[in-house]
Amino acid sequence: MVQQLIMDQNLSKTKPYRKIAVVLSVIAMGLGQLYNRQYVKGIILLAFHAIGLYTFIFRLPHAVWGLVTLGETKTQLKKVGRLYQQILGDHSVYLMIQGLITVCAAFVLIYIYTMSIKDAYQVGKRRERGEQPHNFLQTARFIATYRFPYLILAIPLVGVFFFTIMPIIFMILLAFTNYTSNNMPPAHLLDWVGFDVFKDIFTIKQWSHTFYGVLLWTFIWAILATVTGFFGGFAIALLVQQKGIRFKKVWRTLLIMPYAIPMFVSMLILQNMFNGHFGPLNQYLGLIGIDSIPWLSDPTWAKVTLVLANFWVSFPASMLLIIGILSTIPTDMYEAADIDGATAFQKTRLITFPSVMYSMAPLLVMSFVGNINNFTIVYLLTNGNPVNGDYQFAGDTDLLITWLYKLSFEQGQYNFASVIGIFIFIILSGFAIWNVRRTKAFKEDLQ
Amino acid sequence: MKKKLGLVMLSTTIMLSLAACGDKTETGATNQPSNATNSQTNTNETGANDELKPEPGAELRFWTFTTDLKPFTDYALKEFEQKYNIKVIVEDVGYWDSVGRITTDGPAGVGADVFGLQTPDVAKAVKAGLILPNDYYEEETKKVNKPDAVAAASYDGILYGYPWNVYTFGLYYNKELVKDAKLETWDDIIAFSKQFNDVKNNKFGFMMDAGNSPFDVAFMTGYGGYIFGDNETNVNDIGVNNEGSVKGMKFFQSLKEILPLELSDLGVRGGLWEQGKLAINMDGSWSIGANSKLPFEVGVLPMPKLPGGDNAKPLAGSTGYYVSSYSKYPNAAKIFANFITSKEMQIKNNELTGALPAAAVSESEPGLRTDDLTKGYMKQIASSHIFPGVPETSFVWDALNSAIAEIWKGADPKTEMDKAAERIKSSIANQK
Repeated sequence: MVQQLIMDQNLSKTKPYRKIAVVLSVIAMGLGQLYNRQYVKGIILLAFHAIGLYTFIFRLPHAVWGLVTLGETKTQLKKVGRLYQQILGDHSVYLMIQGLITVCAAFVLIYIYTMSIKDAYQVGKRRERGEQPHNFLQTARFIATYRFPYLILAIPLVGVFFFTIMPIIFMILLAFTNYTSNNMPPAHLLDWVGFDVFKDIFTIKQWSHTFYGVLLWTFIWAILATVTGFFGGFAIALLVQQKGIRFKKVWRTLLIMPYAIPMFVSMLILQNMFNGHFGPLNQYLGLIGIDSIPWLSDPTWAKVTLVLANFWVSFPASMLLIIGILSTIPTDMYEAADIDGATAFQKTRLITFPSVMYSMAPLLVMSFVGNINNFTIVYLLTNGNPVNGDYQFAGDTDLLITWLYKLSFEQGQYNFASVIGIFIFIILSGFAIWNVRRTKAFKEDLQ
Repeated sequence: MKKKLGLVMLSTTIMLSLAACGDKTETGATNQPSNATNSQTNTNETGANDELKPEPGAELRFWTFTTDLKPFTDYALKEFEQKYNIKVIVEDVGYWDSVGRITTDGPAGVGADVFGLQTPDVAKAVKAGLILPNDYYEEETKKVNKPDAVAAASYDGILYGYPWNVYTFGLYYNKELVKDAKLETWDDIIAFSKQFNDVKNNKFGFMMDAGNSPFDVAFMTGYGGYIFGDNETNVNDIGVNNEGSVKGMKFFQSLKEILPLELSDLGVRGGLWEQGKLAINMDGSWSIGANSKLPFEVGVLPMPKLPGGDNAKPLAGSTGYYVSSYSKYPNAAKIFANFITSKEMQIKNNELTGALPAAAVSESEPGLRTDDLTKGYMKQIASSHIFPGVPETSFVWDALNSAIAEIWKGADPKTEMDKAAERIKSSIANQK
């Protein structure tokens, strides 16, 4: 046993395990591991090397060609005798997606390659110190015990990659092509047009006018919707939680109703309620002797209607949250305030409001972000109408997201829609990142 | 170091799934240019005089709007399967959704072999390479159907479709409410509505989906207006602001007198009509089936004369069936498309569902429905204006809708129509 140790140490003095392992690993993934007597790991990595070679030799050139050219042969109809036949050419969109996947795979393979070299180096170093390298079972057990989070995270990470990152990259790429309903694959090939579409949006008057108008309204809407929903909920929560209010449970249940009804249903009902001629609202106003209000047909009123409707569906959620927060505020604070002779207003301003804001501020930011993208309510209640003749494919109450929907689904202007999508993405991710960075969890993580 | 190992494992997992996904897309319906030879070489190349034979083992997928057409599709499929012994699977996809669906489903290999398209979608489908021409049955199709329906199913001089119906707009009237009022001109309709209207109790003499521009074009065409010149084919000649169109829009504006509602409030039209509170309802021929089932008697007025002009000419389009260029069994699909759009089948379809045949048949053709609705519409079709089918049409409705919204609010028709024409022009100029 002792002899063994001495021999090992002698060996380690003579053998530069590190160097040899690294050189071997550079030649091919897994060779270094085999040399380090980690056979299973070595074989797995060798298999990766084979996949890598295959990818780089057979797949990557075609993928890069596809991404760069977006195809070269058009799909054509050829007449054979009396019959036409379709000769399939390249499908630009598929070439783009495939190219993306292959290029990403290539990057991952390169990453694994560098990692395997590092691993060979580390294990070599340990062997030089005279330690026994782990066998595969030990490695597996080690990973399952100490690196378990990585293992579990790998699955959602793959999901994020394919269902979030890839589509976003794809969308960004589309903004640089001429992909419109007049230029649809497979009959046509797409081309890269650089920043032309961005230029068009800002230089063609109709587009830029629409873009600024819709952008401005999107922000105004997000602010109004968030503020009304929050303060409405706050006020109602205060009312319900007042001392001396009886049947608190009943009120709470009643007030949560608008939230409990699916938005789809509420919006369709509200659409009828706000109908300028037949809607009950205008009927009642008529009974009082007030002229009917063009709830949905006048641009300004339609915006007001949207905010009102949004208030109706969004105040219950914030009311519930705030009721929860209110019950956590220690009562002795209020008692102390009472002794000091504070008025009800002062108590609200100096005790209740700060306590609520402390918990609600991050949620407010998130609901603001959500309202920027509040597709459902606009689409269902006004569908962006009333139409605005000066806008390009948008109405007065369209948000960026509903305009994007109209551009792609109704007008087939996919490249313009992608540009709008990029703007939305920048706005939202900016807010989201800023919000996450402000959270306690993140700050503590950094320390 | 162990951390690095973890990362290796992590990337391994990603790598494996990447490889899997990469393979999946590879085996999709895409073609490498290297082997972009004919992916659909038919085993039996059909010469000039050979009979078209279905591919052995053919199985077809068929998209149509089954909600209305179920009685007919059931009948037609049974006949077809008996005759050719080819199985057909029906899926409920409206003609207006077909283009969008086939764009994605076709290349993925799960699209229909035969699907329905309406006039405005044909150009889109051709431009995207989604449909095969109607080659083998071309002569037969042209012989059987009305020239307008054939034109609607063609693009750039090549016939693609197998037309089976025509549709247009007309005036349904509730016989119990109208009784024997004289309704020969639009002035009559206005006079009738003035005395019939009871806005407080939601009773109206006349209603239409005024915010929906395809309905309103009827007034423009009645004074000689049009959308595109040369019978809706020349996109460089935009007629939405010519004298006739503006005159038509002036008349349209005057209708607000008898229809004192905002455009966004007109969604109640269908409900009022069914409750018997609306006397004259402008709607499409696709509602014939629904209107023959109402509790009161319904008739169809031919579009009346406009003051100082011709009769209002509503747009008329045609629906046809088309063979997907992604079909694995193009021959069987062509045989099927032709089979269900033959003259006999169109007449049967009218009998079962009320659809108006695209075939050149007279009103008295044996087998056709003989009720007022069908008769009225057969007359209406004869004096209608062809639906524009050029791809640029998609820019038209949006611009017109905006103009119509302003005109309804009381803006000057000339100014608004000029603006609309300008918008259509700039959209056409800016399209890439």
